Amino acid sequence: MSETGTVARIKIWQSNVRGADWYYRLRQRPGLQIVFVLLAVVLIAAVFAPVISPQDPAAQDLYGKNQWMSADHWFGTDYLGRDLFSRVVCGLQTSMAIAVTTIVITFVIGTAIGSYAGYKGGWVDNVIARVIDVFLAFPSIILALALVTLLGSGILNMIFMLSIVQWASFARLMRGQVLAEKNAEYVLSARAAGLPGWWILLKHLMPNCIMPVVVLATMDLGHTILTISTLSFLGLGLPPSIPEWGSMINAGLDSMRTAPLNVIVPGLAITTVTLLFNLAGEGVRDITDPGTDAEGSL
Amino acid sequence: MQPLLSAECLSKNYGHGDIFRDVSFTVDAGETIGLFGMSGSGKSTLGRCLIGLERLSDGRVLFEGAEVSKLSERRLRELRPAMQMLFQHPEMSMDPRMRLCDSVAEPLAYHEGRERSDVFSDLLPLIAAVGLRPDQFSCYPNQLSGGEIQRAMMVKIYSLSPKLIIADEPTSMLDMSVQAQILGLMKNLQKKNNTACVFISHDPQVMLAMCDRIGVLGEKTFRVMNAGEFAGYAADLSV
Repeated sequence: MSETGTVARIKIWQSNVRGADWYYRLRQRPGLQIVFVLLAVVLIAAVFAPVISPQDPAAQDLYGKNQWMSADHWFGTDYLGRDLFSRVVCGLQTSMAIAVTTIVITFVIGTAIGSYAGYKGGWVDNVIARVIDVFLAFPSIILALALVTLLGSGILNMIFMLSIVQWASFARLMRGQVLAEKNAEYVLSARAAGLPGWWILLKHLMPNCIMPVVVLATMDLGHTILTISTLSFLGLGLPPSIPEWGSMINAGLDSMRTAPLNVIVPGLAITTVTLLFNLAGEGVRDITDPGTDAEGSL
Repeated sequence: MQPLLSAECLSKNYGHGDIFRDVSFTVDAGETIGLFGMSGSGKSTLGRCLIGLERLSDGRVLFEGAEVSKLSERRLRELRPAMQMLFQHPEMSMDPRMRLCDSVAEPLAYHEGRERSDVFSDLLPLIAAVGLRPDQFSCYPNQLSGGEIQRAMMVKIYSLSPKLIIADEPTSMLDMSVQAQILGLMKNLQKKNNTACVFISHDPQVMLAMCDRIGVLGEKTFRVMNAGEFAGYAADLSV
């Protein structure tokens, strides 16, 4: 290690800001920095999609359908002559809005139920754990299909259904974390000091148990986007009027041989965003866990 | 005079057999009683049962005449500051994601409804008494040594003015010189505050240095000895 590196390390070690630890580990990982930057670009693109998309994603131009990439249409046009770049960017907004809302809902519900069960123990924990098992026993895509058939398509229904499918994995992880941590000496010490259960749960157990759940949430964002696309591909997700990647691939299948961009562009978009979230999830785990080494990680 | 703590016929089992059985003893105010036993004899479990952190299978513990296991959750929480515990692994006994100043001031701040910074400034004399500097309390536990955290732990415990401290092998993870310092410190603080102590250890030397009477947890037996008797017993053990 260079001398300046050593000095920097000692300085960080001496500083009492806990954040310095993860900042140091992030600085060791240039690959991860790139992932975070790309993810930031994706998020910004999702928020400002209507501003960024050069053309109206719904505007048809039947004379200019199935075009290859050009200055006018960066990613070409689809089978109705709509600008693929604009459609992909607007599809990103749709997917991200649904995925983020779903993850926020499942994160809150899952951690609340899981940590309560883990801390409370006894029959309460037993009942909740069995309910979690039941939800996890269903294959998620089948459960989602059943719910869509029951509820019909639409953004709100999609969020509701994805939340029902996913909360259990958050609850299970959080429950396990709390179970492992609740007999730690600092928790016993807090109990011995006469602090009430809710206080111990919120101020001590949650902060010490939450990190793996945050990692799961980051990875699950990618997973959720994939599920949304899968359902839309099967024609069960969103109405065709809303640009969405899965339904774009589905619609492009007919002309796949003559106009492959119809399928390739949304397909690559799904792959890229899912990959970015997976890498970011692993990255968050690496930089928040002092035990991991820079070797072998991004 | 009523003893501070009396344990009557305590037993605990985990379903696959007894951890300990028929344990009875009393602790008077200001007195130090030792709990001696080999690894796995149930010393730590007994310690936790005494202050209601774990449930007993049988028997009862009276603290100032009140039966600990019969108290309502609320009443027990009110009583808890009077019975404190010092743990075996200093590095685990403070919340790793809290600065020490927050950890140390938290219980008193909660019970008295005050700001932590306010409470912390009241603790400065106690911090000086255990031989730490206030600036060390802006650290996280992983930035300090075991001995330093154990001292900080004593600040936390004594801030609640306990009447009884359960010390569960508080020095077993520390090296000899630090061990002596911590034990000395414990004795001083105990004397000054007239605190009773149940001292759990597997080290006969430490027992003899700290305790007035010693309860020996054998296999399914429990016997309280005075220091002289215990010295003989320990000598037999080491042969």
